Order: sequence, then C-alpha cells, then structure tokens
Amino acid sequence: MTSILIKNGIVVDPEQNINGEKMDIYIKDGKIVDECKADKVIDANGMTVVAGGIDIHAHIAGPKVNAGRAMRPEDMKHVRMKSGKFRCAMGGVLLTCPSIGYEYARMGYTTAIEPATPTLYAIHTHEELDSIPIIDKAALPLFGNWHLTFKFAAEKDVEKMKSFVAWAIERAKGYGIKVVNPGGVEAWMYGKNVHSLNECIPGFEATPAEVLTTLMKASIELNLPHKVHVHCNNLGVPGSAETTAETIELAKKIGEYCLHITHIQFNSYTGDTWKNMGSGAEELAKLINDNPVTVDMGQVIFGHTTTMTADGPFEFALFKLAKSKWINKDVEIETGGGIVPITYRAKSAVNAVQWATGLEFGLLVDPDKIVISTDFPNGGPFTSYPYIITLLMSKKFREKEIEEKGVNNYIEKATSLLSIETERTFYDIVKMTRTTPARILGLKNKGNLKVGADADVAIYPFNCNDMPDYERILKALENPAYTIKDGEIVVKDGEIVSENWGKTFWVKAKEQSEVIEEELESVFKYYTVSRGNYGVREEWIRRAEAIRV
Amino acid sequence: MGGGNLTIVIKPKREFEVCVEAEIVPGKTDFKVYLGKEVVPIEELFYVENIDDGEDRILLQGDFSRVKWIGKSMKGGEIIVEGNAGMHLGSFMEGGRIIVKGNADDWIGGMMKGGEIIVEGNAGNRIGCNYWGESKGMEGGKIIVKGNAGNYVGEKMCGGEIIIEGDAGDFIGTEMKDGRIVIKGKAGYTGWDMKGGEILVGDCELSPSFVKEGEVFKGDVNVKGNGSVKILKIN
Amino acid sequence: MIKDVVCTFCGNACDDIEFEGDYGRNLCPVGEAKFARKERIKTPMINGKEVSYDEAIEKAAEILKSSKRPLLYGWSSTVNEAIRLGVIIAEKLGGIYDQCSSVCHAPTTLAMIEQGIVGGTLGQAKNRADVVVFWGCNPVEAHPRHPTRYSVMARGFLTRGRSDRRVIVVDVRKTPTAYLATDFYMIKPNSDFAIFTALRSIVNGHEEAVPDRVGGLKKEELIELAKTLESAKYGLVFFGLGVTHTRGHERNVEAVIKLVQDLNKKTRYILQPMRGHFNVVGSGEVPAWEVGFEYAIDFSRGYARFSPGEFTAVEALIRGDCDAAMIVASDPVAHFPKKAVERLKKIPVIQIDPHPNLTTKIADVVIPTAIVGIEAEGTIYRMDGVPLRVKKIKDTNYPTDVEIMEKLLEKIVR
Repeated sequence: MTSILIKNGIVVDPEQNINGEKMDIYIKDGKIVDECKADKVIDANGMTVVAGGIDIHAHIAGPKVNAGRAMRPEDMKHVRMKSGKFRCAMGGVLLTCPSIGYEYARMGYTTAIEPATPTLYAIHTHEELDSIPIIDKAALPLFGNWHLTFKFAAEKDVEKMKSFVAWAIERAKGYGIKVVNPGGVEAWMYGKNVHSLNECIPGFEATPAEVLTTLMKASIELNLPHKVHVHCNNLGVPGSAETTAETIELAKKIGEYCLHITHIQFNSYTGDTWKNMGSGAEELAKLINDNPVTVDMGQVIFGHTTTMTADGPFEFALFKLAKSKWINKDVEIETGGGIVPITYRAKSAVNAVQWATGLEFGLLVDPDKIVISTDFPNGGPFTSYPYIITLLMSKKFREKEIEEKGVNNYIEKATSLLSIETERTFYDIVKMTRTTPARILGLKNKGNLKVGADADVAIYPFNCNDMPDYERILKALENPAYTIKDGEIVVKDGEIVSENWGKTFWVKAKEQSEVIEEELESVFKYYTVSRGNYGVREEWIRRAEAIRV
Repeated sequence: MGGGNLTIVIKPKREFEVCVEAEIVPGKTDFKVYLGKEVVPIEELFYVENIDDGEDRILLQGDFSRVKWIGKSMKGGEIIVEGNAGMHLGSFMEGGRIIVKGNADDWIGGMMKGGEIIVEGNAGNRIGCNYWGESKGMEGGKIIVKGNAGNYVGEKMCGGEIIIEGDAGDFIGTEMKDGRIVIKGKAGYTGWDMKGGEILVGDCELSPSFVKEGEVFKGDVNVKGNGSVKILKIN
Repeated sequence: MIKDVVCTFCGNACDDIEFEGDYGRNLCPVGEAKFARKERIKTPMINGKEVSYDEAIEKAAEILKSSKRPLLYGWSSTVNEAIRLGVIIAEKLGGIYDQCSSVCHAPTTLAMIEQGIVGGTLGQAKNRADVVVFWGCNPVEAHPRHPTRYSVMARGFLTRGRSDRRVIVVDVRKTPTAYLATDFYMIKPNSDFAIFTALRSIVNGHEEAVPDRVGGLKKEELIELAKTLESAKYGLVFFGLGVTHTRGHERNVEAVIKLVQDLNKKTRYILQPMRGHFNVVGSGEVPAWEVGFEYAIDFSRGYARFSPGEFTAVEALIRGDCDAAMIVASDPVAHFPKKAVERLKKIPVIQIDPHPNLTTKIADVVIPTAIVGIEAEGTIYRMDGVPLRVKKIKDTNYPTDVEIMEKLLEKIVR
C-alpha cells in the first residue's frame, strides 16, 4: 500500500472545527496519519480537501433493487462506461453494482447504506453489496412489520425486543433497525393500510406508536451505533406532516436521541387532498431543530425514476395513480415491498411542491441534523447530489432552475422556498454530506480527517475560501480532482483510475436469544426456511467488519 | 436529409462467421460494420460500388438476411434490398423508403416515426413494435408487408399505418393507442388492451374484452379503451 | 448427521434434508434421484482425449478468445458465485450470456418488463392463502413436496392447512395435482390467454364482452370461477410451463398478471411462477445486478445489450449469430430444437458439467466439475427468490465450477 501526502490543500473538517485551513494530510496503510514518508505527493494547492462523502439512505442492493432493474430494461440500456480495464457500467437512474461503486467514487463519495433489507433475503443483499466496487457499505434489516416486533410491542417488552433486534441484526449481518410504515405493510396483507400512529395493527394488540417506542428503547439499551431509522406512516399523502410531527413527539417522550426520520420530504405534506396539498417543512424543521431527532432530505429530481420501498400499500396506491407497471412482494411474516416507475414533472403542482419541500428542509434544518439524500432511486439518482448541493449553496441557481424548468408556480403558495434567502456554506455542506451522517451512523472513523480516521478523501478542484460561481461549483463537485478510498487513489479528474473493494459493516450487539427462544421456535415451526439456514455467515461476505457493542 | 447524390451498391463478399451489424443508411458512407466483437472495414465483407447518378439510394444485392440494423434511424433517401433482409430493418426510421424484394426478419420498423417500409415477401415477428420496456411503439410512417407476418404487430402503436396483405400471427395491436392496422388475411389474438386506434382484419380471434357497436367491436373494456376492431369476414 | 441440507433439484429448494451417510431424510423421489450416484465425467478431455485441467482450460480460453461472438449458456444448475464469474467472462469476451430461462420461464421476465409482477414468498401460500390456484402446472409430479410443504396441505401462522383452503386446478388434462383440487377446470389447449382475459373482463364488471364459450369453458363456468377468485381473502396463483410454453407465451403471463392486478383492487392476490431448476432464479438475478439484464445479453460492443429472440441461445444458434459455445451445467443437445443443435455441432463447444450427457458427445473440450449442493457449496435462489446456501456434504477431487471460472477468467483477461 502506498503512502500519500496531500500537500497544501484547503481542508474542511467540521468534526475538528477546521474551516478552510491550508494543511498537509498524510495517508499510510489506509489511514490518516500524523506524518509519514510519502511515496506519492498530491499537489492540492488551490483545491479543497474533505473526507469522503457518506450516503445514509440509498437503495443500492437487494431483491427489490434488482427486481427494479429487471423490470426496466429501458432504463438499464444506458451505457456509462464500456468494459475495458474496469467493468462495463450500465444504467440510467437505476444502476448495476459496478455502476453504483464507480458513480459514488466519481462524486467523492466513499460510503453508502442500503436501508431496507428483509432478513429472509439478507444473503441476496450481501451478494449485491459484495459486487459493488470501491465504497464501504452496510445494510439495515427491516423490523417494522415483523410479527415478533408486533408481539413484543404489544407486550411492551423491551427486554425481548432487544434480544430479537440483536438476533435479527446478527442473522442479517445488518447495521441497525429499519422501520417502514409500521403495521401498514401487515395491514396490506388484508388489502388495507394503517392511517394513524394509534390504531391497532390487524391481528395484533399493538399500535405503530408502540412499535416505534419499543424499538427506540431497545436501540438505546442495546447501545446501537445507529438508532431507529424510520420511514413514517402515511408516507406520500397530504396530511403526512401531522403523522411525522407525532412520530417526533414519540422520540421526544423518550428524551434522548434515538430517531432518524428518513426521506423526510416524502412525509411532510399538509392539506387533505392533492388539490390543496402543501409543504409542512417550515413547521417540521422547527420541531427537528428543537428535538433529539435527525433526518435526511429525500430530495426529488425532475425526470423519470423507479420508486421502490418496503411500503407495499403505498406502492399499490402509486400504481393506481400512475397506471404504470407494478411489482409487489409480500415477504413471509416480516415485511413486503413494491416498485413503480414514475416521472416527476416540474410543471405538475404536486411534483413541484415535493421538489421545493426537500430544498426547504435542506435550507431550514440545522446542518448537524440533516443529511443530503434523494432516497435513491425514489426521489431520483444519487448522481444528482452535486446538483442538490449547488441548489442549496446558491439562491441564484435555485431561481434559474425554477425559471428554466418552468417549475409550477403553485410552490409560491404552498411552500416557503421562494422566501428563503439562506445559502449554505461549503462548511455546512461538508456537515450535511460527511460529518452529520457519520455521527448519525456512529462511524467514528468516517466523515472526518482526524489522525486514525479511514483514508477516504475527496479533493475538489476549487478553493472553498474563495467560492466560485454556481456553475463552477457544480462542475467541480461532479469532477473531483481525486477520490481516495482506503488510501488508494481511485478517481482522478472525475474518472476511475483504480478499483478496490470496500468493507461491509455490521453490528454485533449483545445477544440473549435464549430470552426469545420460545418465540423463535414458534416462528420456525411455520417458516419456509429452516432456522439453520436463516441468515448470513460472516465468512460469506467479501470484507465484513463487525462493530461490537 | 440523406443529402447524398449517389447510388451505393453493396454486395456480400463471403459467408459471415456470425451475423453482421451495419447501420446502412443513404448518404452515409462511414457507418461501422460489426462482425461480432470486431469492427471491420466494410471492404472486408462487402463489395462497395458508388454510382454517381444523382440519386440518394442504396442498393443491397445478394443475401442480407444476416445483416442487422439496415436503415436504422434513416431520415431520407431510399434503400432497396434485392434479396432478404436481417433483423431490425428500419428501426427508429424517420423518413425515406426501404423496399425489400425478399423476406424480412424480426423487428421491422421498431419504434419508427416516419417513412415507408415495403416488404414484398414475408416478414417476421414484432412489426412496428416498441423495444423492451419502452412505452411507445410505432409513432408514424407506413409499413406494408405483401406476404405474411409473424406474431406481434403494432404493439403500443401510437400512429402511422401497418398493412399486411397476407395472414398474421397472434397479438395484433396490443395496447395500441392510435394509428391503423390492416390485415387482409387471417390473424390470431387481436386488440388486447387496445386504448385507441383502428384495426381492420379479414378474420381473427378477438380478445374477449370487446363489445359490438354497430359494424365494429369497441374496447378494450378492461382499460376503458376506445379502440375499434372491424372483422371483414363477419361484417 | 448433516442437517438443513438444501436439495438441489427443483425450484422448491427444500432446505430440511438430513443426511446420514448416503441416506437423505425428507427427500422426495425426484430429489432422491438427484442425490443418487450417477455417472461422472472422469477427466477433462479435448476431442475425446484425456488431458489435464490446465490443458483443457487453456484450450477453452483459446477457443473463446478467438471466437467472434461466443455463446455462454446454461447456469441454472450452478451457484451464483460461478454465475457471476460467467457473466464477467462473457463481458470480457464480448460474447453472449444466456441461461436456461430462455427456454422455460423467460416469458415471465418479458411479462414483468411490461407489467411488473404481484408476488410474494412461498410462505404466503402457507401462512395466508385461502384460495390457491394451480394453472398449467403440476406440482405433484414436477415439484413433489410443494403441496405439503408450501401450498395445499401446509399449515401456517394464520391457516390450519387444507381445510382452510379452496384449491383450484386449471389444466388441459386431469393431472395428479387435479385430484387435490376443490374445483378442477379442464380447458382447451392453447386457450389460457383468452380465458385469463375473459376472467378479467368479468372481474372488471364487463360480462357483456365475454362470448358464450371461451377455451372450452361455458360463460357460466367462467363467471363461477371469477366469483371463486374474488371470494379469497388472500389468493395465490401458481402457474407453470402450461402457461409460459403454450400459444401466447409471455402474453399469457401478462394476461394473468393483469388479472391479478385487477383482483388486488378487490382483495389481495399474488402470483408465483413454478420455476424448474433449483437456481434458475439466480441465473437471472446475478446478471441483472452485474450488467442490468436477466438473460439474452450480448457484449460485443463492450457493453450489455438485451435482446430476447436475438441473443437467446436458440435464436443465436439458428441465425448463426455465435461461432463458439460454452455450456455450463446444461444439456442443450437434448433440449434445443434440431436447427439449433445442428449449429452447435458445427462450432467449437466447451462443456463444463459434473455428468456426461448428450452435449458431451459433441463437445470439443469437456471439463468435469464437483456437484453443486453435494460436493460444492454456494448461494442459490429458490423459485420465490429466497436465497439459500447449498452445502458441501461430501469431499471430492473434482474442482468446483467457481474454481474453473476463476482460472478461465484469469486466462481471458491476461
């Protein structure tokens, strides 16, 4: 492994309160070091040096992602790179595994989290994660519609919930607790949905609120590095802002940090019909800033994409609305899922509000609490992060986009976007793409350039102390001068120059499966997979790294 | 649009190891010739002769049944295939004319927008259809097949006209939105999930989702469609 | 005793087999046949002469590299790890990757491209379904443990087994599965498409569009069947080659998908193809995540192009669109149409397989490997996509498919 000196770069690292200082960074054996003899020197004079970006929520691997690919050859036919020294890279918005690794690296991103894997399908998810080059990754198993979750929530039994969570995360080789529309997916098995936090889940004595509360308590007691990652109830419909506010109230009651609300944009609409729907971002941003919760944006990008979520009833509603193709998958007594292609149109009032709402959150929420995301591929491609960042950094760019794309002027009435003067500084952006996601995920060696941190570094060809106009910012963010992963230069001037294989993180929590032995036995009495074959072994994963708590 | 003023005569030199792909269009001489994974100079496989006759035309002499993508995205001029033509003939075509004296393989006029394709012999499957997963089939132009056609004619067709003078196989005008299909002979399953447009057919097995209204059948009821199928034998 | 062994025969992938020496408890008769001792290819061969593995792999690489467009076909009876390497080899060679689906359930993929699919795991049959339909499939003979393990008699979390289920069989003859049915509908061959569509018209309230007879069923029978389907709280339609391989092909599947979509507007329904080989699902999933498509993929331009009917093995052979072939864990000579086999006989063929078959007789290079699920481990996907890890339960001197693919890839990119 070579050692590298990044010389005279302008460093931004909020974790160390470094904001645009000219510094040298040394890299050895895949880590940032104090000083060393360098085999290679990168002259970073006039360039900005930051840690590699972290995507906290992107559907990048697993049965759902792959079903989306298979259903959409019209999207997959786009060629990003021909086969040669590296693999051929295919895909328009949806991407193949090689494309995912290459495209993240080409933006200076080095870590991404797959946020929804059924434990029953975890082997598949890990096979795909293993096929993604360069980046580090992890997967969040789904808990929000497991029959055992409902049982322990109904009994308010945090001890058993803890054991179950630790057991299932270990089996999935997962990283944390993902909850999608708690109870709603089970209701979908009866052709229904749940519409409030306090209604009973069909067949159980539990409510979504109890599911969330018990899981949040379990996540704290287990000391999980990443707390409960929630796709709220009532996603994507007018009035969802209220449910989101109630969900934040649940976390507030617990009193300490335990809740990450994902793709908040999709869950922040006011009104009661599509005709009077508006953005609830202003109110929700205040609640988020005042309470122990974090969020990611779920920004919408105009154009076509493929929605995919474990929220089966939502996808059915979308299928009826969009009248396009529809994949549904009901998974045993664990979860479900759906996939529907859609197009976000600037001229559509609803889509325009969605676009504006995401940006409102990006401009109004404290950068220590919000992470940039598109909920790839639901809001759009993750390759548009440079574009989103530029929108957040430049009001002029926002105005130009609204003008040129012809964004429906209903946003003037239904959102506060046009009145927001804020322009995010690059320091804020580094927080929203590095420091904050690393903290939320509990990845201490990521998102910063401290001595001992992983040598995942991005070098952008602009000087952040002398910010250029938005066009040049966008171009620079899309074409990093260098991306370094695990101490190896993988991208130069926006092109892949070398390929390595990242780690897969998983969390080994203290497991006491004997506490839930009876329940597990009863589950496997009727499961279609034997208990001995359920889950993933560490040695089946290319480069697994356990985090013990 | 072609802008050429020659007739280019192309003849195969030898048997091909695998099928050849060549997007041969009038007015263009620099098209690539693919022989499997290799790109080869056109002279390696074909005799090429330019005749300065003021025409904008390509004359394909001999057997072109193993040459794919002839006339792809063509915008003007004329291609005459004196023998048989390979797959994807006139796909994405926008203007001009292609005449095939022999038979044509699958996928003629895939997603074409304009121009004319005439096949004097038989044609294969998927005439004027959408490519995999795309939402629109043929949008304009005209396809005439003087012999018989295979399965899948005019799927997701949004405009233009397809005329089959002989018989056709199954699935005529599936999910058709607009345009016109005429099958003078017999066809198999016809009209399924038709949203609009018109099908005239000598005889067929109508999808059991149409309702008779006067001279024609209207449907498809399952998609609240407003397509019409006229079966000449009955009426 | 080795527990939780996964049977590597059919798409059921039963994972409760217990091995005591050579005896496998819980195996069905077809599974037993799979695990029974069978003739093996003894050594690698070039033109019938015994050679070393290195020589055979060297020769295979030479054939593949000098080909203008090699066809790499088979894959549904090996593990994902080997399939992944196979896809990369096809990419690096500029060849074609195609798999056994192209002659069995590929119509399901094509229908999914048009409509998506409303699906679920086999556990849904067991745990929730109160109406189970078998259409053009015969699990009693093709997937013997399916009725007891998953669908007809199986008890689940929310069901008590057979007494809670209405079982409907629709087929062109009275199959052994039909004897398990509550209601059996005998239909005319090649009429599935018309019947699915007629049922859909009825479900959508358009009886007037349905003629008096469709596919051998009277209109009243169709209305009765539609009512039964709608009466389900949670219904499940299993379909097989009787749907995918009769007149209509992918449109039959598309028609039943659309029927199930419309049924979901009234109650809950899912659909499940009865896939044949134990890893035919994996042989489509792996290329989808590696290069974007499930089968019929050409790499001659340095990137992936998807074209069923063109880059599917049978059509590529018949059109003379490939000039060499590598067959992995499959027997196209036994199963392909005559014209395709004729082309195979003309071009150089490499075979990678544990067992001799008709393809061995025409292969120029033969490379024997370890039997997946007995002598080699790896990942496979059950018919519903549920991933399982097959085990190594016996030692062998044969190299695994993965080891052969690794060596081949090394020689090809060298």
